[in-house]
Amino acid sequence: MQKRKIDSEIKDTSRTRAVAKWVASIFLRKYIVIVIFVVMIVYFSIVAPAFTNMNNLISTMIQISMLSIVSFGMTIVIINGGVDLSVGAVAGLSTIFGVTLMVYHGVPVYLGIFMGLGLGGTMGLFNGLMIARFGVAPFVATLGTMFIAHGLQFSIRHGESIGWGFPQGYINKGSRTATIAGIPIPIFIFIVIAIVAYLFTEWTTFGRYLRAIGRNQHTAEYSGVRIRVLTMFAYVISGVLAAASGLMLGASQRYIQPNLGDSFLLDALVVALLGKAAFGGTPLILGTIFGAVFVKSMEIGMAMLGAPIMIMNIAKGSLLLAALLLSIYQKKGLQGGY
Amino acid sequence: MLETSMLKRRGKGFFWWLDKTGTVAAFAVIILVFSLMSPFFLTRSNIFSLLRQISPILIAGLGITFVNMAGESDLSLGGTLGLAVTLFAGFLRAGIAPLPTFFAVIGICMLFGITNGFLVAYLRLSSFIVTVATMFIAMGVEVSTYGGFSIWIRHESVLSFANGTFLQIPNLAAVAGVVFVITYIVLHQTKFGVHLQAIGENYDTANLMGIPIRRLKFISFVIANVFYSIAGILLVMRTSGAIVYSGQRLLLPALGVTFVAKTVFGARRPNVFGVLVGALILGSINNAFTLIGLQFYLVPIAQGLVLVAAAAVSTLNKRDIQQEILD
Repeated sequence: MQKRKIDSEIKDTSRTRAVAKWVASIFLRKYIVIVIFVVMIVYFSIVAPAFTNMNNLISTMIQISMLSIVSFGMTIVIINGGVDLSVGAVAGLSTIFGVTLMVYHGVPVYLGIFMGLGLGGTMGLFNGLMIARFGVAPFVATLGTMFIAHGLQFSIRHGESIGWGFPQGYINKGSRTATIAGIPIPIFIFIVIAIVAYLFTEWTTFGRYLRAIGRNQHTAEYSGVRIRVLTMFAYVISGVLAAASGLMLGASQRYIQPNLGDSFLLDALVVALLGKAAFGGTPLILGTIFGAVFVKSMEIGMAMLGAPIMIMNIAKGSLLLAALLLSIYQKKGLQGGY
Repeated sequence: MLETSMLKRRGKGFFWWLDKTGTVAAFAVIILVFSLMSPFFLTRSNIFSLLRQISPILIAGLGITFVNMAGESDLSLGGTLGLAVTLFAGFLRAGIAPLPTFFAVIGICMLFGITNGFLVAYLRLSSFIVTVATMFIAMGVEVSTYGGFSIWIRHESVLSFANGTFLQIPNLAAVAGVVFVITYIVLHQTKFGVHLQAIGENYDTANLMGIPIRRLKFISFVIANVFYSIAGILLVMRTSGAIVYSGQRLLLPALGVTFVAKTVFGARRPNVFGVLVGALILGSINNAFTLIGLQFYLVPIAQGLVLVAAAAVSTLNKRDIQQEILD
């Protein structure tokens, strides 16, 4: 009797200890990327004090805003179980279209922006139609759209850039001096879009349905989800957000070359996939914001330390690989390995 | 879902024929229209220059086909091809002899293939994400080696090889042709190729059959990167100069070629002959538009329309939404 009691006590303590160990390891595994991020920020702010300068923080935030907005579209498409390779070309096309209307045809600023966003949405609708109605693989359909938009963006101004004559109302959309409630307008736009996208994907039936399609379209269809309409809508959102990001970039650099959005595709992919890998393999809006913050602050911090600009791509690629390896490690811990 | 749609396709209606022959017929129509619009299109010298133009993209597409056959995707050519271009020109400028340069470049690019293969085949990471990451790393290595400057090739024997002919066929086209024939034999006529296709078709069945899946996937990534480096070397020979990030400009057209390849003869799977047709279609659009004197920006528009049309025709009878697996 006595012996059994002791045995059970021993068992109990060892079990609680194991549980505590398990919880700690899960915590560490789950949030290790965030720990690494905090360490990185602290290191940068000690080694390069200008990193935490208010001026630098604001310009970092503006860059993060533009990168995140295009990545939100990519995230929503990835949630839906696809991928959008056309974001860069669509961003360039809509930007040069909208701004040409404003600068050379005297269209009011808001109408021009609206037309640009509308063109982005139209290209997205084309993607969505191909994918949802014709059953073309997203990779192929969006690659085709990318080619078409890439050609069209040169056709609008015959390959010329726009470098002057922007209306002030447009420049404000990417400027750090124009503010709403004390927040620079691009950051304000980013906050609004981030909140809407977060609520939209996490707290509405629409977002749930979108995730259901991404997990298993047949189950979703048999459950009564209108998978074709929703899939189409996801690509329209991606097109509109790509256009918004391009318009903001154009406004902030005050110079619009036709291939403005060429770097968007790979950057958006890196950010969305990094966010996905860092948060246990689920594409999330919060993960994407985290990915954008991580990538941009690493870029800017390394530039301040005097790292050559060529190292950035190596760092980006290694970061993506590290996050991926980490997510495998996390899964192993949570599911007992495979 | 798939089975029922396949059964339905037994009836040889119009769509069946469109599916089987659509891409090749479209290619024939394209050739016909171009030869009517430009009298120079079907001349001997233009056909040879067309073949020289498509040789890099053809070899890059064949490399992707190796990986696609094993059911994975490979985007790393955006980096490794550009790395091969820059290193080849840079090593030649540094005074290294052409043949050692050739093997050194292929060896360096193989390292990226080994990385890809190890991470995807043995650690089972997503091939899409891994190859995007190695692409970035290769791009970084490319720029940091020579600082992103353009490098011109002034090596006599390399230039004479690049502009020379073999049995009246341009050397570059001959190299591409030899690589094409070897790839066809390896992928469609050997045990290795059949096993690779089996992995891509059905992973579990291949596993139960005892096919060494990991090893074959690993090998396919390594071979693909060797092909990208050969394509890069052909590209730098054709343009006789290295411009930074050449791989980036070839990445999406090469992917387009492999997608067109899947629609040739209704194959629906990666196949070697289709890569040739795809490269010829995209290349002849580029070539003929230049001959006719159309604006440069119409080329990607036409290529995109061809790609979308080919993809749409091949899925006319399908009702499912295709999804990409990114994890």
